[in-house]
Amino acid sequence: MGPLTPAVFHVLLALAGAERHGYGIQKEVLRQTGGDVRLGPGTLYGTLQRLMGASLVEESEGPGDREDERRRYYRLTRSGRLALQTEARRMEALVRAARARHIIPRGSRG
Amino acid sequence: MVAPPGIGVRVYEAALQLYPPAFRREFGVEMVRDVREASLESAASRGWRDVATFWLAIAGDMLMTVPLEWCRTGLPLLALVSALPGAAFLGVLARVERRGWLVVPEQVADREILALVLLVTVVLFLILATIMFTLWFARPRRSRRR
Repeated sequence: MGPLTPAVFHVLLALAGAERHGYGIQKEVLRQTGGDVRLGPGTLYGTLQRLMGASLVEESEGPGDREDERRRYYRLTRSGRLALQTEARRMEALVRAARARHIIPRGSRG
Repeated sequence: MVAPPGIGVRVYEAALQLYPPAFRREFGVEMVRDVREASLESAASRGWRDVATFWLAIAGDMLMTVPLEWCRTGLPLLALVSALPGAAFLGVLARVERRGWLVVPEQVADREILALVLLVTVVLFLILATIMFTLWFARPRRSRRR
């Protein structure tokens, strides 16, 4: 599998911690990027549709204490988690290479 | 209790008609609900500039994703493929007419036969297009995705 698009990576990462509904994913992406990335509904659900088509994400029953019975929840599949790990490792290698070329100082976070 | 939708949400709900029907059926309700919640949150906690930015972002998202979703249905490609035989036929006809090869029958009976042949051709094209569309949309959704 080639590199994931930013939207796909953000959605997979948002689902890595917990099962979430669409709006929950949007809020988690906003949180995990410090407010930099706001996924619109068209982008989010188009991405979810493709991820479900590729069996990287599936619909789930949702957590036991789900806040809204009518909402649809999504979770990572085993291959989704694997794709996320592979992409995170690829990005880690890129960051290491950038550090080695002093593009970003060692120990910096951003 | 669910709050009544504001005018922005109503407009968004109407604009969802621009998406392909299958996509709208699958995610339309969720999309409207998400936009309603997000708009309520943005109105409650931010100023009018942030609310305007929110709606501009939603409009931008639609502008980007509506053509994308239509492309994913394969319909534009199908329309192009369907139009090719017709365009080729018209091209050949124009060439024939330019070279003076097109001979219109002088006899009324011959003209009627020619008109009948053209009519049958058009009907056959329509039947072929209907069969192609039916076969395309009868396929399982997953095999239509790229």
